[in-house]
Amino acid sequence: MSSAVLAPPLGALWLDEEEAEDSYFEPFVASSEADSASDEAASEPLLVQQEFDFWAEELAAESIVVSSTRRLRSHPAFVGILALGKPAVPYLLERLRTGEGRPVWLSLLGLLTELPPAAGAETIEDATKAWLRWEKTELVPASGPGATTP
Amino acid sequence: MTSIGDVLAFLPRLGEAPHKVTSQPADYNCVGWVNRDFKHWWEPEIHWPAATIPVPPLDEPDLDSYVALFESWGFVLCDDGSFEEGLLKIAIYSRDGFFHHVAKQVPPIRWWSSKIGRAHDLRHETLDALYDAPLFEGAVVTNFMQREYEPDDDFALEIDGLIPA
Repeated sequence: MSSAVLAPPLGALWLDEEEAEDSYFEPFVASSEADSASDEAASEPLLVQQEFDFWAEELAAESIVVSSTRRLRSHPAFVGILALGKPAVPYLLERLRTGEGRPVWLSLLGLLTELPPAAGAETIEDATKAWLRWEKTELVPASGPGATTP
Repeated sequence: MTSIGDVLAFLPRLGEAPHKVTSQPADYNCVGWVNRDFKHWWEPEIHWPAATIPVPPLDEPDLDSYVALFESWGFVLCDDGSFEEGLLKIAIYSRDGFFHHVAKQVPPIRWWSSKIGRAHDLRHETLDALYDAPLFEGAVVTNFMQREYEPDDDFALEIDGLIPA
């Protein structure tokens, strides 16, 4: 499996079950594996959220007419969200819940996590449900929407 | 919800060109629309017959992979988009070997029908009505393909869609 951020496993969102076996149940902690820049960002979740929202709004608006999320990989907003690292994952999941732009958010989730919780999903709707199930069962909420505080 | 105004903002020529919106926004793309597939977003990382058409490497030209996909659906490359009795043609927009969009003919009225990104289906009289979109990066029609269609094939969805006139 590729580990490059911009070159995720082929079919990252819809990997075959067999391909997905190795990584499907890997525990995922939103900030523990982020690079140093992202660690710093994760320590300030409000700033992460603000930056995410800035990029996400731009990306949601400008990607309306795009038929392949591959064509977005050099878009400043797409790159900006990738640069936030895994702390952006809870906010991407929140975007999935709200509906619009789901192919783009799914693509970013696949790139950022390199996990295939939607393996075998046939449609955007099914993939969305799979990621939201994954959020409940696998994601340790360290920041962002759904985070809990003692 | 995405409005047609949002779409027109990113397709500068369309607003000035004859067109008609024929659906509400939905999560299938122009590739699926070729076959009236309302369920799938056809793209190598999302929904793709990888067993028969290899997934092209990321960041490398992928137009040939889309052509192979359409060939698997019975289309063959042809010279142009002129209307010919009994043939359904598609027009592929690309730049530098990167796929951007595909539109299909609507033979009864001699227009074209496109699913625009994640937005609406619409029909447009000319192919260049979709040119100059900022995120199309200057893509233009580079390939035409065609296949036969049955004389009684219904094009009502492409002509009037689900939206009352």
